Amino acid sequence: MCVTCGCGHGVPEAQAVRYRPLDGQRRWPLLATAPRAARAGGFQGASAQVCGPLAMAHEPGLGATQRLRIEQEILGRNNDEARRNRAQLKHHGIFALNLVSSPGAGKTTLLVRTLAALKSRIPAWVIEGDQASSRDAERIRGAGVPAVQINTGKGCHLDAHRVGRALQSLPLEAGGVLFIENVGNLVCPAAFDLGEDHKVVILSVTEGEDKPLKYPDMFHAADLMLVNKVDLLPYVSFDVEACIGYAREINPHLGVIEVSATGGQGFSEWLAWIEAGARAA
Amino acid sequence: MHEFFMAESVLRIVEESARVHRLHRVTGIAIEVGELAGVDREALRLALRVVLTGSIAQEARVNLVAVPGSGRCTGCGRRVALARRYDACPACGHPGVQVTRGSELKVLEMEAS
Repeated sequence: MCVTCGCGHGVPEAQAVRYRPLDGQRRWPLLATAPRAARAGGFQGASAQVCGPLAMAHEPGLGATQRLRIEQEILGRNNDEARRNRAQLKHHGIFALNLVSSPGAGKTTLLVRTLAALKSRIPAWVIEGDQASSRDAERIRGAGVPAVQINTGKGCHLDAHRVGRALQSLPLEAGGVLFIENVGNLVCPAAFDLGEDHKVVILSVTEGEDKPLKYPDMFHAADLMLVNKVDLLPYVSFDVEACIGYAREINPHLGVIEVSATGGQGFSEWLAWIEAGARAA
Repeated sequence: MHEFFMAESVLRIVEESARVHRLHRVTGIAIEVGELAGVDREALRLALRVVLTGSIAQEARVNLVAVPGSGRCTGCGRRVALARRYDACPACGHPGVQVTRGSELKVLEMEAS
């Protein structure tokens, strides 16, 4: 007999007891999806739906515990979607950058200045990730560049699925640059591939120079580090050389450019790096 | 931390497998968590408790299987144990150790009826 619903399945027909759903409706009370036999109009030739005394849905063969080998990556779905985004971007010849930093490192200010310099030369688009509000997307649109805002709500990072959806609403054309401004967070975005060509980590001189040692995953995942707000160096005790040394302990191949998003220092090198990437994409 | 996302992903994998095999109650889930994967096992356990509540795996026993970190040193070529991903080689002090084990984040198996 079926151990879940007690319907008598597995015992001779004469002894089997059939139950109807208590409310008389043609639906299964507890399970969202009825077993296929029921959807097909009954079970074992019976016209009535079969439910046990506890109003549990019944399925033949149910009851035996099975062990299933699964072997599935927990981040597998994100990685699959990231691969799809990457293929789509590559198909269009678009160079995609995922900008990551702590909150307040100056990502949006840096982006606004970058776009002001780039937009007359190459097409650019922005996907903005924030927990709430569309303030950043509005700032970007104010700079004359198409932007989509993603609000992550309780989430602490952007994932490939949301980026894939955002891509569909942008007027992409060949040869441009896509900037994805991630949620300000040096931990979680490191684990989530979005389909970008490079992660660019932004660290400002008003933070600690040892951040690469404290948040190593992000500095390992990035290909370029922008040391931002260098115009403030005379006023803060931030050792740029030590910072770069720590970062390269974690990631010996990390590129470094020192910039100021307000003063414009280092921007010619940063813009040249972007344009070289866009040409190669 | 992103343990909630991981827990939601575990539930999606478990629900999908149960649907494919036409099973309705998940009684056990085994998850491999590498010690270098950047996931806190206690936080994941807590997140799973919240996420699995009200699901087909509400009563599932959760077994988090730890995988110790190890790698091969690109300096001396030895296989070494690693406590942290970016540590230098404990044998020769070289900074470049290629991680070979410990990054796992995988649903290994489940028990269901």
